[in-house]
Amino acid sequence: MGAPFSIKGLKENPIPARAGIGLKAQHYAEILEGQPDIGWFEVHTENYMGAGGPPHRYLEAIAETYPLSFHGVGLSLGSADGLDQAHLKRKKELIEKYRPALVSEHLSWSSFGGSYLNDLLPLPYTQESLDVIAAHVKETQDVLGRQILIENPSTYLEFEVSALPETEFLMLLAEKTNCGVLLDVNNVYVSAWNHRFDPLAYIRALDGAPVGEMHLAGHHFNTEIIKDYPQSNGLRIDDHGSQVKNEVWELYKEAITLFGRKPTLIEWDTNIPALSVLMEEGRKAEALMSAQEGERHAAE
Amino acid sequence: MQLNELQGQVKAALLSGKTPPAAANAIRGGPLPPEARLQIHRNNVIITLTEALTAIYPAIARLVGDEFFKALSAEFIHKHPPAKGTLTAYGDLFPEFLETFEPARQLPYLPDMARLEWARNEAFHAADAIPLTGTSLADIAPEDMPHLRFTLLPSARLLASDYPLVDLWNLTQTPEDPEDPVEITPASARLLIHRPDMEVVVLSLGNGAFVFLEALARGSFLIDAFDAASEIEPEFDLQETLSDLIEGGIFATVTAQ
Repeated sequence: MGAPFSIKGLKENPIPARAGIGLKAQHYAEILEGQPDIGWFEVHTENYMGAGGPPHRYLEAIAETYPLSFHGVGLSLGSADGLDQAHLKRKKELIEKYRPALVSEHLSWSSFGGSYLNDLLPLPYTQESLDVIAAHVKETQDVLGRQILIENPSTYLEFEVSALPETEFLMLLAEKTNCGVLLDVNNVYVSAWNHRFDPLAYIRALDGAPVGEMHLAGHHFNTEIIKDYPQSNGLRIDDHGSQVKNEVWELYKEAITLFGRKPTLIEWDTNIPALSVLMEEGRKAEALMSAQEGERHAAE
Repeated sequence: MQLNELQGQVKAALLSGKTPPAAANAIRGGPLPPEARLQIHRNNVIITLTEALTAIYPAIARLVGDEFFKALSAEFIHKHPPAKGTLTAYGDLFPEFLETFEPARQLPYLPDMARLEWARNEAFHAADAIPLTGTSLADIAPEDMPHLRFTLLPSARLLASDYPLVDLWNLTQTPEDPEDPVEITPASARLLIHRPDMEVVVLSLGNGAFVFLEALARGSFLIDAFDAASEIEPEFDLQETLSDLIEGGIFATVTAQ
């Protein structure tokens, strides 16, 4: 859908249905020197909003070889008081420059009343919220001239006024705006544990058609909190700081069985390990994708 | 509750540390009360924004130690939360905040150290430009020299301080923790922070050279910048300074009148 021109020789490089890795500054040099076999890279768009300097120099070089996905954490699509137009404009400039194959944002809000809280806060799932975020998704897609994917959040709290299940809210959003869905399998697992619903039922409640990408990440299981609240079963905290947990791999298998092979990101943002560790997680995801495809062919 | 009101309430709960009753009432409880659930987000806000400040102000963090830096950051975040969703540009008000933060008053050099770190951060992300080389001046006729105008690289920042910022900076670059309190030899600093290519460079300048660059950065003619420099440093050597600065990769353009 992107405009048919290219800047600095970068052309849109489609994302294969393979594993991708979150690009981190500490791995720039290793990637450029070794050109490892990695399907694609995802960047946090906000890390490239500066005018110049090393981040752009490295990303330009990496974009020569690898397909890119731009994942935004700061646009705050769910804010009742509107989008930051300067942020949206800068995002558009970056997308025109780097021409990423995928662009994604979150089903959440982070800004209100001129303050940015740097957290992906949950929305109440109401008709009003749906109208607000749908208008912002449309506005963003209009400005960028392309489809964006919206990621399901990991949540720790729910609002009394919520009237729709998250899955229904997300599907209605996709229907109203033609946005895609970025299915974060770890987030499904985390939220399901925290609110005691069945993660598999969540995935089954989704329509696979809009799902254009999946995320996998590690999370922290806080059991300390049970000491203070004996009725609680602990809280799962989405910290992107460790390997993907077995329960999440199991859920991922179900997701690819239902929706087929999708570009799948290994997200690791805190306690960042060696690139080889991330690649190993990526190979695991790719092996599951291939095994699932094998089963599908055998069944046909 | 309308979305607008709900977001205002949650924001207040996260930034003030005190949960307004309306926010608590808006959240489902169950086995965990709303307060315990909000605490997860409160931690996310403080921890990630403290990390963002630590990334921009690593020397301040080294000089004051982790615990003090955390307390400092928490206070700053509550007072000045980010206005924008781009954290590489968060913390511009930190130097001024340090001037007013009572527990930091015994370390009067902190605000200027923070100004140095902020300048480094701005230089890192500034627009790229190819620095002028000596050959750019080769074609200029001698009679045009007095009325040349120079522009500095987009990354260039000038910083004057009554404290020895470079010595302090160097203290933070060693693996051992700086002594507490840091012993410093009183000295002032006249610094140019810039990024000729991929690395941010900090140059210590003489008084004359600093005034000279300040004047050029304001758009003064070379001759007027020279006069300003000579006034503060009578032995100011124009030729040597200009050639050093060009070699340092500081200027972006030069134009003859």
